[in-house]
Amino acid sequence: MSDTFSSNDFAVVGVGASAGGLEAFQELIAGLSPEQERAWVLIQHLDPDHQSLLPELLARRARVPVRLITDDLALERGVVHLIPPGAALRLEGDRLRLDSFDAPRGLRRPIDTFFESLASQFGARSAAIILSGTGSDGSLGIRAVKEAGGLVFVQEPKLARYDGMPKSAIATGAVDLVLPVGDMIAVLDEYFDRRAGVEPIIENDAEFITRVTKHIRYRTGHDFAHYKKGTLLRRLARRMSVLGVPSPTSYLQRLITEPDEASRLVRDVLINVTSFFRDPQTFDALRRDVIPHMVAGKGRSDDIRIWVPGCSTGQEAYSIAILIDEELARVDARPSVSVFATDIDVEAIAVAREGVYPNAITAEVPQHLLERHFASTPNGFRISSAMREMVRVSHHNVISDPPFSKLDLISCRNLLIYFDSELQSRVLPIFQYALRPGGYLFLGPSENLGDFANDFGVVNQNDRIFTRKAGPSRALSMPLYPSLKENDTQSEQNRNVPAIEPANLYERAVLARHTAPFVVVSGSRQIVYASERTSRYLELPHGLAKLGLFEMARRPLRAPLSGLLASLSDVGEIRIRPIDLVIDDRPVRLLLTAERLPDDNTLIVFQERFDPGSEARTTGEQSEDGHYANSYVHDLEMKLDAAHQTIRTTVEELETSNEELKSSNEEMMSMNEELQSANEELSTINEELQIKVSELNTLNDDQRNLIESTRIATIFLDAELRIRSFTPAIRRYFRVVEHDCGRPFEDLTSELDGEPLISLCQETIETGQSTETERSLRDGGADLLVRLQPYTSKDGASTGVVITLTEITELKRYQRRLEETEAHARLSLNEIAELYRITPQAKALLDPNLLMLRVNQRFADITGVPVEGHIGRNALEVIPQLGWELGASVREVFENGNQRESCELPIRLRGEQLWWEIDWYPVRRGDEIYAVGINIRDVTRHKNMEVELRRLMRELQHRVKNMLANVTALINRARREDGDPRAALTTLVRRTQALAKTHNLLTQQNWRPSRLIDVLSPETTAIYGPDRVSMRGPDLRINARATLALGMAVHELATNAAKYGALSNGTGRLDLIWARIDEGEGEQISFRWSESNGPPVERPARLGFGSQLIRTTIEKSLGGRVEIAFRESGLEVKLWIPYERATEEEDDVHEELAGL
Amino acid sequence: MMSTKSLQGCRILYVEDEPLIAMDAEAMLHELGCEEIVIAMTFEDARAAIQDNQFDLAIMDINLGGGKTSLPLVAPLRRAGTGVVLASGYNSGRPEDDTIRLEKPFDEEALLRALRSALSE
Repeated sequence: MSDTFSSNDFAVVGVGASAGGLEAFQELIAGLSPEQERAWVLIQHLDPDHQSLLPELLARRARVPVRLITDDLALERGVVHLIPPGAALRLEGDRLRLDSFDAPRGLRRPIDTFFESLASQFGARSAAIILSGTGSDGSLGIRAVKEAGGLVFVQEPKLARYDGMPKSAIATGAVDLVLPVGDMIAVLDEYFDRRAGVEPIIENDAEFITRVTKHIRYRTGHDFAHYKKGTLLRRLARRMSVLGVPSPTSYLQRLITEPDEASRLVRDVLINVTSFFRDPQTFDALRRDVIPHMVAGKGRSDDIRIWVPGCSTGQEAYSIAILIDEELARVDARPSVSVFATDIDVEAIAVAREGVYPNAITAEVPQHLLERHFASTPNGFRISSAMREMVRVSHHNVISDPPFSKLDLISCRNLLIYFDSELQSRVLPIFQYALRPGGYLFLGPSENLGDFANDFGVVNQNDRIFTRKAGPSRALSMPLYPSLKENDTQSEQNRNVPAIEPANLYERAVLARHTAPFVVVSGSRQIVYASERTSRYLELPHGLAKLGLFEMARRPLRAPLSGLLASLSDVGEIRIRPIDLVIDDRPVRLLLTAERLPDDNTLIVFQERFDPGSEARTTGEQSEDGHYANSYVHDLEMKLDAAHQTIRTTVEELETSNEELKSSNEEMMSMNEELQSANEELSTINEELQIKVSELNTLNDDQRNLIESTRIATIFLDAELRIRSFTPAIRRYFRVVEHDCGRPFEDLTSELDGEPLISLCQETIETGQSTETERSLRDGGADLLVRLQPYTSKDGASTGVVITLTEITELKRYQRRLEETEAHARLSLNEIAELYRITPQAKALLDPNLLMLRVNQRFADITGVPVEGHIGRNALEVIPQLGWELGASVREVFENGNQRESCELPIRLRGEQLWWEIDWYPVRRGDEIYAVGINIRDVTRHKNMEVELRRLMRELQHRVKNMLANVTALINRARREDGDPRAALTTLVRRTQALAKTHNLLTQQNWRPSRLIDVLSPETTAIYGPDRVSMRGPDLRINARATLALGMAVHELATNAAKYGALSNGTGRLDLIWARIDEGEGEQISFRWSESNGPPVERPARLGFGSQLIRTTIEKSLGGRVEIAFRESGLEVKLWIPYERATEEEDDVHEELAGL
Repeated sequence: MMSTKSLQGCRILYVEDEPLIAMDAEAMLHELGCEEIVIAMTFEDARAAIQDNQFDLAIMDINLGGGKTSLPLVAPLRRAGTGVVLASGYNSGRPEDDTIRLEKPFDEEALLRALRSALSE
């Protein structure tokens, strides 16, 4: 138990409710903020056989988590914990434990059980709230909470749906505040806030405590000076927090200005759950000083009567019973013992009746007494049946109900402290009245006799044990009995005895003290008014309280009164009868006077006569008819004896049956309680169900609206395939009207094509599987999807079929269109695949990361990887040769979407230099480019051809220009020639032709070396025939330069020979001889042109162009040597040309020159 | 306009592998008044001529046949202070190359213009 109060620890609020509690719970929970840090535990009386909807209903309202309690769940701050049905809840530390109930339904008190454990575990950090409910569960629990220093709230009974529980709680006096539910959270917050602050403030304020105790002593007489300071502090802090007066000064102010506050505080301080042998040394005194005297001399026929008013849950009554039983066992006496245990708190009484106490009582009851008088049960300790029989527990109000009488002991401890002095002065005379002389009064430690100290002797002042002095009982000024209030004599009484006005003070004084006591009885002999001091003649009979005159009159008075009243007949008539009798052991002469009053009531006056005169007079009167009287008296006494016997028997029988009635009454009350609690549970369920029903109604509406708004044709069939319900849309497909519900589905006329649905329905029910089928309308107007779904109840059982029909005409059309499109697409795809396959281009498709999506065989041929080996691989990895260019271009196309065509790139592939022409083109899907396609064409052959062509063109140009330059040179030569221009032109033409012939030869050989003989023959043997021209020499091949040089030289020599030499006549010869020689100057070709038999040769005066040309070409161009000899027989020309220079293959330099 | 006299006394190297053209050009140069003309018809002859003589002007056909060109001779000639004219049958040329060009076939006038340009460098 936590005594100190710190804001670090969280507080636990227990909330108990029964009937009408749901509404209150909801209101309370709705006010909880998610920031609050207390743990909440809600306890409701729930039907154990019924699953509670409480968690669901509350969680909907709450902004904080709502958790259903399971066993051993740890309390959590900020969370609302809910009790589950059929379990008792208690706290073990901060763990919530669930137990099964031991008590039968109806006697279960889950709220009390929980509050008690809450008080013991959380002490000052606990709070208890009682909300709507009938019965009284919680009333005991709040006392425990209060005693432990916790806070107690109760819902304002006027605002509670059922006010039983709140009212019962308020009646315990343990309630701090009575509030509307809506205010509770705020007040609770303030309370805990203040509480954390108040305690440290007053803890260190010793003066404050002193002043408070002083003031309390002054106001109420209670001295707290010896109370435990800690307890007092906590109670004070608590009280101040409840009041919202956190400052010591203002609280003192309040104590002074508000008289009630002192007693409120006292009550708060003293509130306690009663316990066994409370204040053990006091009980020791009782055992030692009182009980032996009470028991002494009592035999089997004697009574010991004890009253414990304000017995609460009965511990004190049982404690006393146990002490008496012990004493009786010691002295071996067996008088009958009755301990009347009474209280106004029916809840407490119920516990006292049950006689079962928690195991904690082992701390209070000494071990040997525990063993002897208690039996251990799973629920705790049960008082032994002997003790239980000794103690009579009943509901009784000590102030307003008639008291018990002839008591040996009244134990009334800690009850008077709740009473103010006026009430106390009413109660103490009752005790005096009820005790027989010498009987004991046992009060609480701070209780005193006040004004009535003279009526009692002190046995033990310390332990507040007193004894009633001998002497007359005080007159009781009991208010009218409740039973009387309720019957019609009330009006009677009101009429006859008007309330005494202050003006009648004197009359009252006279009536009270100076006249004889009197009573007024009604026609039915019920006492309707009694003056003071009638107790000498009247006493409250044992058993059920009755106000009949004859029941209340002391026994010796009954017969005379009966006779006196019987003799009265008329109004205003007065009869007086003197009688002698013994009252309190003293002979008394009594004058009974009866007068019939005008209101049919009768006044009876009791006048006692002590004076000798009157005695003589009465004696005289007696003597007048003494004999008659004596015999009459004797006769009466005989009758009386007999009547006494009868009455005693009757009384005993009555007492027995009374006891029986009492016990059956107790049973009835238990049953009543059981019924009541069952009723509460039922009303809880009813509330829950009502809310559920309204939710279901909403849901139903929602569902109906949903079904109608979907316009889905739906028909519901039950297990026999009869129509349960349908939606309006179904009418298009089935001829069905509202009153067809209940008819077999088979009977419906359907617009659907194909076989009836009934067999499918049966199948659905049997298999529990849903099926779908497509149908058309008979008129072909629509295609439908018919879905049959098993109708399943919550537990999954199939109890019917739900058929829905959905129009899918459009859907079908789209489907067909889709299929067509798909076929078309597949065709296109095939075409594309085919295209990929047969195209001479290498094709590939790349994604933005250059991963290849598709390639064709040609592409694979390039990369040397199988087609399928490309997919998903990076293109650069497969053809690194394309490198940067490929990546950049692909990215560019992805970025700007522009196609790039016929881009030529030189590629080195497997050691071969190739030219590729590449296209990049975007492939779009919608607006987005999802891939880039690549076409690669190998254009190496075209490229090479183009290069060759260009080379050829240049070559051609070079040669043409060269030729033109040569021709130009020849023309210039001719221009410079003197003589006949015609001859010059002829020479020019011939030279040009010779040049052309040589060129022909070279072109035929493709400018490769030509045979020397082919160079020589066109100008010689071809014209003059082998008879005149001989040629002799090896078959040599000479290069282009040599060919041109020799060609021109031969032309000039042949022209000269034809003009002037051996070929100018018909006889001359020409011999051409050549050879490869080496005369020490390197290998050479020697060539000799020798003419013979021609006309005589003369050396020309000037070197002709021919000789000049020969020299230039042979010497300068070929690096050779020329010898020209003009012999008589004819011209002889010898040439030596280095073999190397004439035959070497000339490198082609034109490529290098191409750029010049 | 520069007079032909300025060419008189010029030592001229003429490099051309075609004998007819070389002879014609030599005749033209004589007609233009050039007296000292060295004709080289092979690369080797031309190189030898440059080593042995100092020329004022050199006219060189680029393609000397036998896979040889006269281009390697341009730099040594320039260093020796010789004005260089390159003759070629190709009508294209590199624009950045400032060497004076003479397109074959050429006449006297073209030859003269090229020579004058080369001289004025």
